[in-house]
Amino acid sequence: MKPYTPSSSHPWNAQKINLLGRRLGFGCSLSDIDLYLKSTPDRVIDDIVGGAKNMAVTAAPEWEKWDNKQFNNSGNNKNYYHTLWQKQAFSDFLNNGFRERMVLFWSNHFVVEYLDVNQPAYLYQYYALLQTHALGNFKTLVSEMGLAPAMLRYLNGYDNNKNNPNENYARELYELFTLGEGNGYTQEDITETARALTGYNKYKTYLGEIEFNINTFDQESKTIFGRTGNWGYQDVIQLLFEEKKDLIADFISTKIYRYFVSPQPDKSIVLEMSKTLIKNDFELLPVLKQLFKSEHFFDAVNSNVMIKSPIDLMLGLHHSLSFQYNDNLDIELDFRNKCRDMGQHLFSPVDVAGWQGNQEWINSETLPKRWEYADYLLIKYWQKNKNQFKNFIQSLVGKNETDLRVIVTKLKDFMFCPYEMKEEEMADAIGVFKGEVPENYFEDGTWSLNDASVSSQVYDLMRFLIVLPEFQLK
Amino acid sequence: MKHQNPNELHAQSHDREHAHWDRRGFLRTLGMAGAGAISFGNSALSVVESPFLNQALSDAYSDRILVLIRLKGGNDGLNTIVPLYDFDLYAKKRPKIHIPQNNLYKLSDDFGIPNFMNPIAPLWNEGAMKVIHGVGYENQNLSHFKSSEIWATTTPDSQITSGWMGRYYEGKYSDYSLNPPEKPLAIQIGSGGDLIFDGELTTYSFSVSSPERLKRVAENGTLFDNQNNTNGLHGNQVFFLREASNTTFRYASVIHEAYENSKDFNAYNNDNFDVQMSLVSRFIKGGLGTKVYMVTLGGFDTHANQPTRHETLMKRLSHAIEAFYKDLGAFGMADKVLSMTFSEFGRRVAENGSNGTDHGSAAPIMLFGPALRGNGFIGKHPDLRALNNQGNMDNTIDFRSVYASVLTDWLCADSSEVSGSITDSNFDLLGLGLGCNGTENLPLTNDPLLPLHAAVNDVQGVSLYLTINEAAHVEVDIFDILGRKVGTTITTRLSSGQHNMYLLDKDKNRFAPGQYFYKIKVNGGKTYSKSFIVR
Repeated sequence: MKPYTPSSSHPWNAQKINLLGRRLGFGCSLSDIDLYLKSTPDRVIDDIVGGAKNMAVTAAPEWEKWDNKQFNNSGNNKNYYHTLWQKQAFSDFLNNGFRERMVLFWSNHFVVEYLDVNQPAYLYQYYALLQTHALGNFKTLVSEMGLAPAMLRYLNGYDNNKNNPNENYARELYELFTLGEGNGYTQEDITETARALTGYNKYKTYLGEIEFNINTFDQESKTIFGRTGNWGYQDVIQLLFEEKKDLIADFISTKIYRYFVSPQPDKSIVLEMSKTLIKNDFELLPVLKQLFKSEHFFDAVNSNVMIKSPIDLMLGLHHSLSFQYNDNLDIELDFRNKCRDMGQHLFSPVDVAGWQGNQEWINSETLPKRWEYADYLLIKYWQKNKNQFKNFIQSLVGKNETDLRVIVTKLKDFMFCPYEMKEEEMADAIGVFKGEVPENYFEDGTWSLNDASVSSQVYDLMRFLIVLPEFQLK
Repeated sequence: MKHQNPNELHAQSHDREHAHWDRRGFLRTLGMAGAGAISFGNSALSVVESPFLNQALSDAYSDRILVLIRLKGGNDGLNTIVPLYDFDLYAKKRPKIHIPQNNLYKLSDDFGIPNFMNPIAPLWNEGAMKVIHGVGYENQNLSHFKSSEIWATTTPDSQITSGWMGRYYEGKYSDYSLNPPEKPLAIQIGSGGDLIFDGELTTYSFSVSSPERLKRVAENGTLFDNQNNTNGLHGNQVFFLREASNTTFRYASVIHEAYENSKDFNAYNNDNFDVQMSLVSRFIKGGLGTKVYMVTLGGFDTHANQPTRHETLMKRLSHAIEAFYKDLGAFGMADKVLSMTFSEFGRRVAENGSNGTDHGSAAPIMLFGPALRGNGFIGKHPDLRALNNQGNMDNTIDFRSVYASVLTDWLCADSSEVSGSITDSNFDLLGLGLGCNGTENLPLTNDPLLPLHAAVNDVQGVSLYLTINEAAHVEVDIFDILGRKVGTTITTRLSSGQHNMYLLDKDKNRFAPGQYFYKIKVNGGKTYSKSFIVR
């Protein structure tokens, strides 16, 4: 994969930084852009990816290992804790950037639905697991995920014992987590794998730690991918990654590509990613760095082709502006609820296959909500401090700019990926920006970006821009 | 595999709480009023007893339309309605920029309009124009922005961010968000930042920044043009999103339909303001059913070179209004449409050093439409000899009284709707002579006097409105609450039709505030009486 090297025809600029910020993190603020502009793409990506790798796991709550009884005696219902942790996750998203982008990615890969699991400590443990291995080794992540209590509950590993085998997890392990539907496995493999995965059927205390119970483990021999033995849990993972590493690498590289680059995978790039994954024994860091540093990643063809998820939309707007809001606003709760209403309820994807994303995000119910909720944020900033809007535009374009088209274009370029705005929409945008200011103020030079009216002019312009169809793209 | 039926997702999300917040913004910037209901698009939500439906039924009896003409920037009232009665002083204050007497068209002995406004003279002569003198408010704020806000919200209180029309609609359509009407309640061109149609929770107008945009919507039936997108994945995604946005915004198609149902009238110029009026007319003629329109003519902040600039603006205004009423008249709808100008303030009485005028205070409001049934002046012109310390005129009529009167007399709002619309302030009803109370639609009876008579307070006193079927001799007496006759105010012969007359003229009669009765005796026989309040 050819690395991206800045040149006069492909300069390292705010647009590229914005692309990086929107895809790897949750948007770019003006200060992010300033900072990254001073550096090189190579160093910036090393910083982002390396920094995420070294980040500590979010501090555990006191209820990290509580069992059912402890929750029942706590005086709060389980949803209280669930919501608490979803809010924590949104706070982590905002603070930690890329690491949590990977957590979000994996939570839509190794799906659990928290309402099905219905045990807040399991949710925390699942979250901590995702954070720990978000940029670690994919094989290790697969291995540990299957034993996470949340997953044992959600895909019935807990119910899978030698007398009553349950194929649910075995099937999804291959179909959704590593190989893809019907890709390199048979129904026989699933049946046999399910038997090998038995034994995790014992609560130490009810809905507490789940222990391996040798008595419910199927100790007969199993044949998986043509290899026969008295296989257990770790053997399954070992066999899978020995026998099917090419398929796994292709499957997971494709998924990473689709998430970070484009819904239309480029086969040759995916092949290179697969090779890197295999060469590094499924370590994630090398392949991610390779991809993000590539010319292909920054190729204009791949810019502005992905439909934002609700979380992209809300957090991206919030972080890119980095405006203040009223202290009494529970913004994490707002994010949780509003993203839920737009179809992205954190830790509760639509089904085990996860959110399919892209155009699936948009329908006549979710689209008006996207308009409303993005606007809701702007309203909250406005209510806190109107001057933020004026200060922002001054930072973006300078205090002395008086050319309305230049101002509108620069704001558009900051809030959107590069695209050519239709001329009539540009005229509309300029009309909105003129707002309540008497026409002659623009003609006779009375108006400037220092005027009191500028705050509301920028506010109204932003409210106009966020409902343009292109705002849904990243 | 736990695959869920995707439809269940909608059912779930609909069960969940649906928070209220200030939704007005996106509604306003996009003119998205009505999109809220789409949020429930896939759910089985239905409201059986809808106040809106009832409202729609009652609205169906009235097809009156109000066009608000915003003269943005502060229109110079003195050069619009020129005070002939004090012409020398007027000319002395404005040596360079006054309208010379020989360039004036006389509306009456006391007032004239500049010749360049002649296109509206026929409206005056046909009884389709009235002028309300000296409209403003106390403690005039001289900022364009703040004063526009005050005119919209009806209060200097910055905490209140809803407008008078917005509150009027909010009172009327309490379930608007759940059951938005099929057509936009109001259409607003320009003035995107104006608060007039904002309620507490939503905005009630379809708002566009320019007539060009409205025309595109009207012609294409879509909010976003989806032609000529680029090729490739980006282009496909944009097409998908534009298509989804257009489907979601449903007013575009009804606007398009009304537009297609009507034809251009050839009297308009290719001028921004003419285009606005011509679009409004096409929607009216096409049966859109929107009752309130706001159009905007900007550029009135004439600090310099006022004579040329104001003349250009007034020519454009006059021409568009002339064309608009000719257009509607040819279609037979002119008497259904009342137009009203307004501006955030008038201008300083004395000219400044740049051939212009600085920000002022009171200014006239012009009303247009054959429904006015007569020309005339309402209220008193502010005294040019009693200026405040800024050199501005004191208002003689509060703008809120104008709003209240238009709501009452034209949109037939009841008193609770009016007081909901005009917050925290006192207002008087001016008696615009528009004859509300459903008079137009009531069947004639054998009774010589229709059961339609009412006393209305205005600044001048109390007016009596009555309608009779055939010419008759009419006597009106007034009684106090103890039944004592306190005056015979009217003895006259009236032709058939509607009439209004002063029961009490404040200048002539001094009545203590309180409750009174009037008794109307027709042809010396049958009597009709009703109580009324003197304020």
